[in-house]
Amino acid sequence: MTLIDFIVAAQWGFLLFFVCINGGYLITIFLAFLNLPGYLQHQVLRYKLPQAPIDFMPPISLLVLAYNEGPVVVSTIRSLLQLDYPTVEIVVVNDGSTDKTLEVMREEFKLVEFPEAFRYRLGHKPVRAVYQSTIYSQLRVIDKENGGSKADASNAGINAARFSLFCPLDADTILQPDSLKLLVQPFLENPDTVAVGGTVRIVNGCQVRSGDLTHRGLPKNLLVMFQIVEYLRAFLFARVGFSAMKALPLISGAFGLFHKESVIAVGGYKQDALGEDMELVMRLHRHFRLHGKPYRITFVADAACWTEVPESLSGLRRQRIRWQRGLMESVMKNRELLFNRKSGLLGWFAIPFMFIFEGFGAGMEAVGFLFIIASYALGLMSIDAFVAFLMLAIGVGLLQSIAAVLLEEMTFNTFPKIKQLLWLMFAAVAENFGYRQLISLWRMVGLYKWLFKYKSKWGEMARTASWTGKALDAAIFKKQIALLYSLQSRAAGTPFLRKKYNWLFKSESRWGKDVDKSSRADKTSE
Amino acid sequence: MLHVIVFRGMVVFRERKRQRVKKFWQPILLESIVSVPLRVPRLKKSDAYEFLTLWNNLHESLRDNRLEKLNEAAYMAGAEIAARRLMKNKNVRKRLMSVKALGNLRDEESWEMLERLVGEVNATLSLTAARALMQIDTEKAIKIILPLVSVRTDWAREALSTMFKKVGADAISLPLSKAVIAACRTDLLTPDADALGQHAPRLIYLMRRAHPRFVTYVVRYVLLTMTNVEAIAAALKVYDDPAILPAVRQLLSDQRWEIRVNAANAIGRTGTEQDEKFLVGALSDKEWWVRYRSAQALASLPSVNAEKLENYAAAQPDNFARDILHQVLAERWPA
Repeated sequence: MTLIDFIVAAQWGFLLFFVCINGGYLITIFLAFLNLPGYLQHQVLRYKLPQAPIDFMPPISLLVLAYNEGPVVVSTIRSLLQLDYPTVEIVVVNDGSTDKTLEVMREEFKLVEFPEAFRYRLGHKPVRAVYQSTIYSQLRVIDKENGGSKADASNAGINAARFSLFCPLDADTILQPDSLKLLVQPFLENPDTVAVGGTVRIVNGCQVRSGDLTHRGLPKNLLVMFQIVEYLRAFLFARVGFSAMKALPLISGAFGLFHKESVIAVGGYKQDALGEDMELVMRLHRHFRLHGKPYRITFVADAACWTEVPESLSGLRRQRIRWQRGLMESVMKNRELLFNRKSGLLGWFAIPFMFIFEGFGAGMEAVGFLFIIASYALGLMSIDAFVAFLMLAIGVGLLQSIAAVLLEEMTFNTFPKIKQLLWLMFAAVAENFGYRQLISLWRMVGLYKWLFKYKSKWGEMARTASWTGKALDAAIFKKQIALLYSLQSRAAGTPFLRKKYNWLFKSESRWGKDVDKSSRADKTSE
Repeated sequence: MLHVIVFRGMVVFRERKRQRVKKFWQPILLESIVSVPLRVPRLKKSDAYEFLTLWNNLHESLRDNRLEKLNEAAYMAGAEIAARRLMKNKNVRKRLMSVKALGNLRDEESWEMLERLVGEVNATLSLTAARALMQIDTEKAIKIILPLVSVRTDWAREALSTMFKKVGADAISLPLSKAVIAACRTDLLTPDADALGQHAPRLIYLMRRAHPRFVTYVVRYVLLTMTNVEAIAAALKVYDDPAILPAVRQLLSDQRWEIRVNAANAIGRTGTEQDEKFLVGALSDKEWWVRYRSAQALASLPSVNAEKLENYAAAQPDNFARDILHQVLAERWPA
C-alpha cells in the first residue's frame, strides 16, 4: 500500500467516523424532540392546577457532602430546609474538613452530639461523631475522617441515611423547590426504579437569596455562556435521548435520586473511581441487566438543580480532563456490558457510542482533520471539497447547539427575556469557533493521561459562590482581609488577621468541582 | 435560528391570549362563586383551553359548598360542550385539561367518552379519566376501576390512594375488601410462581382508605392465607387492630426481615405491656432496620417511658441492642 492509498483509505475511515458520530447525535436529538415536549404535555395538570395531595410521597434522605465548605454550607442547608416536600432528612457529611465547616454548622444549627448506632454497610473512613440539630430535627451531621474522595463521603452518607431513597448533593447545589417532587415521580410510577437523574443548570449569573433562586440570569463570562449551551445539549439531548432508549449511562453526581438498597447491593460508590457518579450508574446497569432483574434508570428533565461551573480556563481544563478519565475508567470497569446480549441498547449503542465517540472521538477528529489537510496538500482533495467538508463539520455543530436552544425554548423557557435568548443564540454559534476545539484538546489530554495511567489527584479549588448574598459578602470580606494581611505583612510582625480568619482562606475542596476565580485557582492537581 | 425566534413569538402570543382570557373570565367566575349571574357570556371555541385551565384552577382551590355555583356558571357558558370537543383533540395537554374539567363538572353526558378513555394506553390520560368517572358516579365507577387496579400497574399506587381518599371510606370499603379477597384467591390459585402474589398487594395497600372493621377483616384473611412477602408486608402496614396482635407477634420471628420489620412497626402502633418482651427480643435481630423499628416500637408502647428504656438498655448483654436503644432514647427524649 502506498502512502497515497493509505491517506485515501484514512479519509474514507474518517468520513465514516464523521457520519457515525453525527448520526448518533442526530438520533438523540430526534428522540429528545420526540419525547420531551410530549412528556411536558403530560405534566400540564401538575403545573397548571393546584397541587394534588402529597401524603404518599416517600421520604427522602438528602446527602450533602462537605469538605471545607464553610462559606456555602449554611446557605445550602437553609435552601434544603425550605424544600417543598413532605418528609426529608438532611444528612451532612463533613469529610474531615480542615476549615471551620463543622463549627459554622454547630453554631448555626445548634448541633449536639448524638449516640447513633452507626452501620458500616459500605466501606469508608471512620466516623468521629454524629451530631443532631436541636432546631431542625431533620438535620444530622456525620463528622468523619477525610477519605480523600467524594465516593468515601457519599458512602458514609448512604450508611447514615434512614430512608429508602437518597439524593446526593454537592454543598453548593441549589434545588428548585419542586424538584424533589418531580424527581420522585418515576419511583411512584414504577416500583422497579432504582435511579433517577435530574437536569443540572448553571447558577453563575443568577441570584440566590437565603437559599432561594431569585433571579435567572446569564453570566457575563463567555466561557460560562458556552458551558450553558453545552449543558443544554447534554441534558436536553443526550440524557433525554438515552433515557428514551432505556439506556441512560450517567446520572450527574450533582443531582440524582437513588434507591438505597440497590446501591448498597452493588457495593456503593467506588473510592478509586474518578467519575464515581458515572461508574455507579453503569455498575447498577451491569448488576441488573446481567442478572436479568427488572429495573429502571431514567431521567426527569423538569426536575432541576442549579450549580456553579468553572469560570476560568484552568478550572475548566482540570474538570474536563477529569471527566474524560472518569468516562474511560467507568466504561472499562463495566466493560462486560459492551456488546453483551443481555445489555440491550445500553451495551449496543449508548456505551459504545460514549466510549468510541466521546472517549476516542477527540483524538480521531484531530487525526482525521490532519489527513484531510494532508489530502488537500497532496492534491487528493479539491479546495471545494475541503471547504465543503469544513463547512459541513461546523454546520453540524451549529445545528446541534441551535437545536438545543430551540428545544429549551419549546419546553422550559428558562431565560424569559428576549435579550437573554439572543445572547444564548450568539453563544450557540460562537462556541463552534474555538471553544469546542479546546474541549476536544482537553479530552485528548484526558485520554492520554488515562492511557498512560497518570496518577490522579483531586483538583483543588476555591468556590466563588458569587451568586449567594452571603458568599458575596464573604468574598468581599475575604478580599478586605487579604488586603489587610498584605499591609500587615509588609509592615512586619505576625499577621494576626490572617491567623484569626485563616478558615476563610481555606475554602478549597478536593472533590474536583473546579470553580476558581479566586487566589487559589491554580493549585492543581492532575 | 429563525425557528427559535418564531417560537419565542408564539410563546409571547400564547401568554397574551392567556392574559386576555383571564382578564375577561376571572371576574365573571369570581362573581359566580358568590351568586350565579343571570347571564353568562358564551365561551368562544378558540378560548376553550385557556378558559378550562382557569376554571379548573379555581375549582380546585375552592371548598365544596361553592363548587355548585361555579359549575352552574360553567354550564351557562357552554364549558361542557367545549370540553367534550377538546377531548377529541390530538394534543394531550388539551385532552387532559378537558377530562379534568368534565370530572369537576360531573358531566354525566360524557360518561361513555370517559369510560373509553380509561382503557387508553397512556397512563396519565386513563388515570385522569378514571378520576373523572369517580367524580361523576362513584358507585358505578368503582365497578369499572377496581378490576383494573391490579392489572394497570402503570397507575401509580399513590395516585389511586389519593383518589380513593377523596371518594371516602363509605363508598370504597365493601367493594375494595371484596376485590382484595378475590385477588388473594387468584394469587393463591395461580400456577405461575413468578406471578404469585402480584395482584393482591396493590389492592391491600389501598385498604388504608377503608373503614377499620373492613381493614381488620382483610388483614386477618391475608395473614391467615397468604405467604407472599409483599402481601403480608402490605397487610401489616394497614393493620390497626389489637384483636389480631397474637398473629402479628408470631411474625416477629419470621425468616424474612421485611416481614419482621413491618411486624415491629405494627406492634408499635397497637401493642401492650405484654409486647415488651417480644420487642426486647427483636432488639438483637441481625437486621439493623428490625432492631431500629423494634426499639422505636418499644419506646412508643404506653407502658414504656425513658427510665424503663434506659433500664432495658443497661440490662442488654448485646452491644447492638444497647446501641440501638441509646439511639432511640436520644431521638425520643433528647437531652
